[in-house]
Amino acid sequence: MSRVTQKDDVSHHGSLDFSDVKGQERVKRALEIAAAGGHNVLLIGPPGTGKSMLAKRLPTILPPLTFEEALETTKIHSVSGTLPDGTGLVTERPFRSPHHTMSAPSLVGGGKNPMPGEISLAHNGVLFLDELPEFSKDVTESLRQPLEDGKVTITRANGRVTYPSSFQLVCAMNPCRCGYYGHPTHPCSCSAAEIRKYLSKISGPLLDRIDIQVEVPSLSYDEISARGGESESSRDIRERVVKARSFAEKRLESFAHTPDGDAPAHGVRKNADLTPRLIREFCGLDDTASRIMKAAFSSMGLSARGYDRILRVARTVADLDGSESIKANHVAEAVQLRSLDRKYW
Amino acid sequence: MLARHEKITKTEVFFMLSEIFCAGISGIDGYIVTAECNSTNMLPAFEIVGLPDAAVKESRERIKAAIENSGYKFPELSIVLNLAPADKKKEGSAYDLAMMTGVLAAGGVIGRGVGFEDKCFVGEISLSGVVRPVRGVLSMCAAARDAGIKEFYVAAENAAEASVVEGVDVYPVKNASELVSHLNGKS
Repeated sequence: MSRVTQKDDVSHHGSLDFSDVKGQERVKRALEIAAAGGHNVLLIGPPGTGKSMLAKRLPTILPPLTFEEALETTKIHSVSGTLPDGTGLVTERPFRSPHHTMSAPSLVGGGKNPMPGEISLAHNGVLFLDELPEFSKDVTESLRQPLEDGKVTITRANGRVTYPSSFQLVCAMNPCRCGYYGHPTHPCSCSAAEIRKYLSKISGPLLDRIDIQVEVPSLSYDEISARGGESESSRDIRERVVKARSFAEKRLESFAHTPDGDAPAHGVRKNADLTPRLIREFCGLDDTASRIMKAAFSSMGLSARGYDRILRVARTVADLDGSESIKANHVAEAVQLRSLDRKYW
Repeated sequence: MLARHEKITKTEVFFMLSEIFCAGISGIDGYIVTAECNSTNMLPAFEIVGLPDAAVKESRERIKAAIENSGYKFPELSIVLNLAPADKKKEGSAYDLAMMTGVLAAGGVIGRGVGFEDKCFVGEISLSGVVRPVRGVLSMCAAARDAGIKEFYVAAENAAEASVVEGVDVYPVKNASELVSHLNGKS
């Protein structure tokens, strides 16, 4: 018997790459922003437009795991028995896409002898809920608290355990039951009441926690059949994402440590986690930018929370741009990523 | 006849206590569990205490079969295994390897000179004595390192995962006889 030394690890995202997806440049840009700021995303569109395909490629543009993150993620997978035999450290961000027939305990964790759920298995990675309205209400609603806290505490007769669950939520859905509401050519066969009922399955509080909502339109013939003009690879996008993250981290760094230990940015590593106080600190707008914001606020009927959300996304857009101040075009792009608010709900 | 009777009454009752470390899981963190093995030369018995669940209770049968199928004699002693801390529920089969090591030490299969204070054993035992992988080894190994353990013994399938933890020597164990010869060779 001889001592074991650390060995290399396996990757499981394999050959997925953003360049596999044709067209949909707006959605790719939205996912780039989401990756840079750690924002949650909702993709809405008719069937077959590439929602799942795009979502599956999000982990390929997320920044690499730090050692501490990898250790924590590996622990969770080790405890739940989902670590393949012979694996050392998990070095790729997990991507979990549970089926919509799942139960609430299998999502948040539980059981007589508590085990981590899907949200913990997606810790430091992506939780993808395809066909969001098909999930039962108690499943989607149980996401709210872990989304806010980044951890979940489960209490059972045998004791109480806390699992980390800091994940990026990506949801995909059709705009209605038949899937073609708002489609340019295909008629929608749903009644107005059916459409309302379908959309009402997603509650306001959950929607409120999703910073970026973007439409995935159906592609035209020209876009699908276009040859050449290779679209950008995941590697290139990831480079920009990593740059934007370190740009944001540098700013947060100065607020993360104070002598009395009560730092406002303690534990905040990405823009999606900015507290209202930090938003006031970091997301000041200049004149033109605040004029656009004001117009959007009144025309979209934004809530106070919605307002904060746009500022957070605008901060990320500015970070991708390498700009310390948030300019008019950054706010405009952030507003674009919320316009679904007005269109569907 | 009489002489033989005297011989029996003169036999001294002896005790032997050994403490073998293993580890359990609470949430995603590991904690050290001590498998205390007390053996006396009274009526042969084998009991596990310390809030074991069904899987831990069943390890009695696994340990017995594993020891015999590995070519050793199951000690004809009264053995009590206590999993400390005794107020925490013990689940699963990860304690098998440590408990079997305790029994082998009690029976004298593992030499008296072997020290267990810096070793930790985690793994399930099959009836044939083969060591099987368990869940949560990374957290257990981290807990063992924090408790000052130097040598961590696991199933070969778990070795890569355990070796992520720095400051502990990880030994993959194939089966009971390999473990015995390794430990005896060391002493």
